[in-house]
Amino acid sequence: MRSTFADVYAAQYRRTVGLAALLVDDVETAEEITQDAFVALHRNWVHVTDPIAYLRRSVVNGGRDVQRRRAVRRRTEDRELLADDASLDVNHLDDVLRTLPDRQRAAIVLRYCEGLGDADIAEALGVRQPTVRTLVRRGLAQLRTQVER
Amino acid sequence: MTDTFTDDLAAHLQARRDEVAAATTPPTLDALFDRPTPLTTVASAGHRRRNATIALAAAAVMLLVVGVLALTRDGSQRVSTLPAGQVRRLAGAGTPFLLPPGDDAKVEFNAIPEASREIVFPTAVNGTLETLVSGAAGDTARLLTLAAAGPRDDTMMDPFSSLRRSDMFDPAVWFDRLDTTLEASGDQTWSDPTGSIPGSDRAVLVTEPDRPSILAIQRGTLRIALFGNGLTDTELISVAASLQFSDAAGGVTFGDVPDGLVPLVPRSTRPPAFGTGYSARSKAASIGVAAVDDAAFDAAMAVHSTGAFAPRWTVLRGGPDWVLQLVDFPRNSVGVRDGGWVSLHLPKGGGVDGPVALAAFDMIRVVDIDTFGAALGSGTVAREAQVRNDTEKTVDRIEDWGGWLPRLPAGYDLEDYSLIGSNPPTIGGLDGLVPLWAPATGATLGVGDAPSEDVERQGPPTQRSVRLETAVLGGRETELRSWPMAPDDVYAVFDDGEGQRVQTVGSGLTVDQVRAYVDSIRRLDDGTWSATPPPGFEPIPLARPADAAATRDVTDRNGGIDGAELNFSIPDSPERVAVDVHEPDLTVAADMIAQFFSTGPVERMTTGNVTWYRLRSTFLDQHRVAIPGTTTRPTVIVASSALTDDQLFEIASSLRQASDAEVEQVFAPLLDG
Repeated sequence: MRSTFADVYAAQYRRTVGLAALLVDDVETAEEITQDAFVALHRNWVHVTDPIAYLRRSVVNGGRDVQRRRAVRRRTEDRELLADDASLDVNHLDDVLRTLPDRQRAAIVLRYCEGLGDADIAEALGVRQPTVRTLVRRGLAQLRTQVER
Repeated sequence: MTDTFTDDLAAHLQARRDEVAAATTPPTLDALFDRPTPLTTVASAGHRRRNATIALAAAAVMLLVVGVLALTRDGSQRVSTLPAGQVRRLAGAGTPFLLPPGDDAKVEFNAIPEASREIVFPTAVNGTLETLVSGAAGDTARLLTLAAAGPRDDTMMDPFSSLRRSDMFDPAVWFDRLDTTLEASGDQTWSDPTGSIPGSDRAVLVTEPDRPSILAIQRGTLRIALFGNGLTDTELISVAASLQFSDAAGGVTFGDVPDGLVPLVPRSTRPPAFGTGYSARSKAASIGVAAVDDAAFDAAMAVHSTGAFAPRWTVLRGGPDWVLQLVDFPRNSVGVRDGGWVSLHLPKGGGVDGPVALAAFDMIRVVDIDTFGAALGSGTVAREAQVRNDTEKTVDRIEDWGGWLPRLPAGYDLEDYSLIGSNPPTIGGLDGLVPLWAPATGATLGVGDAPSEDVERQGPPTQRSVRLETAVLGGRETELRSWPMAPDDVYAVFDDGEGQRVQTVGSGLTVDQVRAYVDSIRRLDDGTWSATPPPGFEPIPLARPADAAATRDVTDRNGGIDGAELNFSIPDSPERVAVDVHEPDLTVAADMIAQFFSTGPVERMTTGNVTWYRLRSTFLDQHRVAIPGTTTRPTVIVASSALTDDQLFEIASSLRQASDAEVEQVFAPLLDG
């Protein structure tokens, strides 16, 4: 028996916010992305075969949109990273994670936080599996280099 | 990279995620939906109708704040929010959207609307909608909607699926269950006014206190629903009695309607498969606009909504440029403005009474129409590029899966596709039990987790199960229950001894069969379970013993995309044939075949050395054929209303590994179009 929307909402909301926060740094934006994702999921509920995968992809896309808008603001306003406004505490590993390109960062988070395989990450990011392996390899290399610096 | 580093990284990330999760409080569902239009880019893949009886659990006020600016094309891409190609300049270039009410709030939107891939109707709708309205300013609006659809097409939504309510009669389900005697539940009253509706084969009027009544009518393969606010049941039946039927697309139009009722927006048939959506929003407010000619579905969804409340509207301004304000959520208003269908969600804290809302509505300005149009045009180009990009990725996927495609005669052209995935059709249950099937009758029987009582209580009255009796079976206290939608399908619910409620899952079973089967269920010394299948039952093809823990975990893992549904045109027919091809994998094959068996009585067939399975929906007149996959061949399921079982089997068995060039050739109509 398929779960109801309310089931998925109750079971996945917090975890999805946590995932989104790793992609966009601040909890408020993470909640916004998560809520958008659930609203979209509700609207498409009858079509969605795998609600979790749908949420994951929505959150990754939402995170990417946020980062893109932030990048525009950084260029035009020459301000500090919006990440500096983050409501999360930060440490060195988080700082380094923020330096990764969006897709590398998402791939790392999905692999090492969510424990997903190549196929699932590829689906979430909308890329092919070999690309996932490349993103993870490069992301890890950069993380390690900077952390050990 | 050392294992230690990645282990530390994983632990760190998981801790951060869990830290945020623990500090987060989910808003209520009402609060979730009572918020401005989302900007999130939605996932575009993996959509597919799988289950006709899905409980939508909450209000959908969000529908009020979603809009589409549809495109008017005249060769080159050109955009207008006005009918008949009229474009009226409303303000100077660069002026942002302004959304006052007065001094209470001033919200600046982006000067150029952001392209949004929010899609109100993610796939084509097979049907028509028309909504009528009446009422003078200050009155509660009277609303009447006529929704009609032809035979179900598995690749399309029908208008009822968009309008279904989670907590009341669902016409879509009623139409799907013509072979079943449905019964009212809760405070609902059902009557059969067929004799009052000339031309109807079957009808049901469902009434419920404080709810709009719904009248569902079947005429041949035409399915019709009438519902509204502010009309009496007598009026509803009178309207139905005057409906005009025809052979034209849509098949039905209004005849006589109560005085004053006029179209809210023009009647609409199938809208574009993908509407490129545009909306503007600030932190707390949003506006959505749709070209009014295409707004029938938006309008009907907005004014009737779905979910747990009966929306009532105050008329702020009468026609033809209607403005309606939601009584219970006055920050929301909808209506017609400058040739567009507008959904307006006002900021929190601002004035929301009628005059303020109307002023805000009227101060919406589609400014700098040229820039706006240019933005829309480029957005459309971006959308088309996205569609092409998605299609190219699908081609890549099919090539990665081995390039398996059916061999179809000339004239069968690929019209569209969707990516699909499989999951276990039954979650949880009892380790070791095997899902069963009776080849002689098509009956099925298995065990899965029962929904929690809390979840059941959330469900709509029409979908809450009914306890028939309590018995001790297999030494366990067991409830025998049934669903109002399928009263003959009795099932048993019991505790597995460790606090997990499980239930039998199946169809076509007698009460005695359910009793005997549950009575035979025993726990073995190794913790697994065994049971004696009813006479005539055998494991369904590819069935494996249940792995309750693994399937309970399924919501925590990504079932993923493992196949594609390819929809081909059929020469000289408006129907299509859907070919689902899943990657060669035994687990996928088992899940897909189990799912196939759960959708209706299945017959086993043999042609040559190929064993295949077929089922038929009498009402839909749709035939479906499945050939289970192996580790080297895909699972394939073919469905169509227009082809015979033999033709479907021919298509299913024609699957072969095509070259990359052949795959791309099949997709060429989509890539080139």
